[in-house]
Amino acid sequence: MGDLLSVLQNAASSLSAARGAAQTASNNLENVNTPGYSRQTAVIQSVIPSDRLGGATLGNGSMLATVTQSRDRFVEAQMPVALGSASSSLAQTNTLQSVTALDPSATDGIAASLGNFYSALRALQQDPSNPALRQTALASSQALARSFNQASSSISSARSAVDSQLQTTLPQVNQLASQVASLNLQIQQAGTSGGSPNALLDARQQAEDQLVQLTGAVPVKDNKGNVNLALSDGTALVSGDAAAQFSVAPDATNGGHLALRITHTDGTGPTAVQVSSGTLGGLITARDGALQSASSGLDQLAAGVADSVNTAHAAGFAEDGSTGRVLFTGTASAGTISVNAAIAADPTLFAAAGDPAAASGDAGALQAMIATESQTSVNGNTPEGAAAQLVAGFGSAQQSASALSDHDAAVSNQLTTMRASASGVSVDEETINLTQAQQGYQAIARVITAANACFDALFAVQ
Amino acid sequence: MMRVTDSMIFGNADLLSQRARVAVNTAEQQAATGVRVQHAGDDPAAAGQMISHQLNASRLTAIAAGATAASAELKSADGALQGVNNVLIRATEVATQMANSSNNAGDRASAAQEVDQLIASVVGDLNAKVGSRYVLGGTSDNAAPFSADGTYNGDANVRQVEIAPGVYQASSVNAAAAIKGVGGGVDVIGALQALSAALKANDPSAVSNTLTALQAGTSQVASARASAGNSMNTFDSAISLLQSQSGAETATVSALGDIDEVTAAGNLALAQRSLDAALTASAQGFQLSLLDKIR
Repeated sequence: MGDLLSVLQNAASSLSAARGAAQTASNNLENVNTPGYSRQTAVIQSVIPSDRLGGATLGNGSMLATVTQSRDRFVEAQMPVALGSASSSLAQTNTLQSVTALDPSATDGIAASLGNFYSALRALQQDPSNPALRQTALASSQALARSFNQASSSISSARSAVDSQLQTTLPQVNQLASQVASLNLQIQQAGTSGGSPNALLDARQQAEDQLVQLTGAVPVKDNKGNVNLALSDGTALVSGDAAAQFSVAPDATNGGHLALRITHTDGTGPTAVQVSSGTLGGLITARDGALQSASSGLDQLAAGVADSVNTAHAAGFAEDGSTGRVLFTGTASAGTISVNAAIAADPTLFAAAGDPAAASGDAGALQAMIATESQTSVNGNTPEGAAAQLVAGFGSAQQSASALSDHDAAVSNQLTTMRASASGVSVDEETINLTQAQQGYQAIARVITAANACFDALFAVQ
Repeated sequence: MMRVTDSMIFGNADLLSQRARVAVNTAEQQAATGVRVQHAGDDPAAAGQMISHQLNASRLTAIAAGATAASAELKSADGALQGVNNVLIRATEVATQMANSSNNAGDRASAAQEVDQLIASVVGDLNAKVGSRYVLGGTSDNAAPFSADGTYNGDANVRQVEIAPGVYQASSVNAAAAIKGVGGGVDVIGALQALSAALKANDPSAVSNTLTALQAGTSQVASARASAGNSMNTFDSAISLLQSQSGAETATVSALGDIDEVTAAGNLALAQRSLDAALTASAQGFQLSLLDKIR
């Protein structure tokens, strides 16, 4: 009698295990497209035998030991760096590719305007008293100044756009850091009641991934099961259940562009912080690297061209014999350069002559201005060389960022694929698991039916 | 054995089709515009070289335009000098003829009228203009350089025009020297005026005395024409070279930054084929599932 009851008890445990396996497979299928979900596995094991019959040990059926998550630790260990790098290089690429002011084929670009300016000087040199040619030379000077202004504005806008992106990204970063800290606490609390809080672990992993993509922070697990995150300069972003919070402040040493600051996990700060990876790091690298370099290169080109032309122009003589005027003003920056307002208002003040008599055909000053084309007025370079170097330098930065982005994306995609292989749900596999659990359940139910028949037979004997 | 999950299948399909679409988009843009280097980052080395070659092409074109204008002005100046030369030859003929004592006062008076007309013709020729410029005024080119009485209002400067970057060539005739004899030559108009005066004075000896100046003037003008001709030849050679160099620079810019139609069409066809293959493979992968096989 006691043995038959054991059969029923064992069957009940086994049925429960089979139902757990079926439920796990169902849950996997239901979450096949859930972002961040890791495949779960029902671990069924034999109950340790305790019944003996004669000299034999009888088995006690099966039980559901636990439901585990499928994660490849090797892949997971590589994911943060890959995600941070891919986001960083993508942010850099997108930022640099938004700048088209230095495109080599632009019809109104620096090179075209520079060429047109010197061509107009040459045309005027042919007939210095020709009002139409004088007006054309003035218009070309204004076009050159405008071209510098536009290129400078384009680069400056891209740098300012990075500031805006930082401001719009930081709330998300702060929210995710708080979320990871909160999930650390919830997972700890759930762990004390036994079992694995898989849904919470998935949620934390997803938040952690997003945070890593944005900041390039490196996750480190502690012995309490917390995921702590440290930024590239070692600053803690998440420490246990505490999260640091980013903010920004204008940096006077960097043209007023925004610098990152952080209020630490212990509430101190805010202090300056360096982020060199993730989306934030990529944006800052683009802004303070290639874009700043292009901006200063453009300023140097504008100043080199304008100052050398100004020297020649100031030594020349206008139609009325006056001298000493510069052609360009505001030459300290490509963004502020413009044609002398007095000359713009009166083209006869354009100093073409090299002699105080300012004879109508005297083009001495124009020849001196034309000669600046071959002078090494821009950091040891001619304007042509400097313009070519500027474009090639910025192009190299664009290309490097793009190549790096492709490489990082390939690494990240490969690891994502490996993660999907280890942790993703296969509909085929889960369908098989579900069918297997279903058939096991049916078989165990048969055991109950058989035990029931045994009971009926015994009761019939009485 | 690697597990293949549904997120891998859909993720890979998404990635592969995206890559293929990017390639098609790039190929389409290149085929439509013919431009290979749109942004500096497309080919930084080529982009830098394009800037240099663009500026060089622009510079050479501008120099060629200036040289062309200078050559035209020299032709105009040469035409004027040719007119002066013709006048001097005729004046020499008149002087030779009227120096003969067989001519009477009436003959010389009529010859004087002809010489006066020749002087007026010379002044007209020497005030030749190209556009708004008087080509024989030196750098003082906005007013007629010669007055009716033969006074020269221009200057002795010779304009210089580029024939190569930084290389200048004289582009005007120094009329002060060539016509007025400044610097030790003969005042050509003065010689003609002297002939006219001698004829009006009916003085055969004085008429004869003008022959030396007229012949020296003829040589002086011929020398100026030869110099102008040399300059014209220099300019014409330079123009030809500049145009050729400018064309080569433009061709280099195109070779660096453009894509030929055949390559562009080939790239586009290849990219489209890749996209088609990626989409087909993805669609095939989606169709195969155990769910479709069991009931």
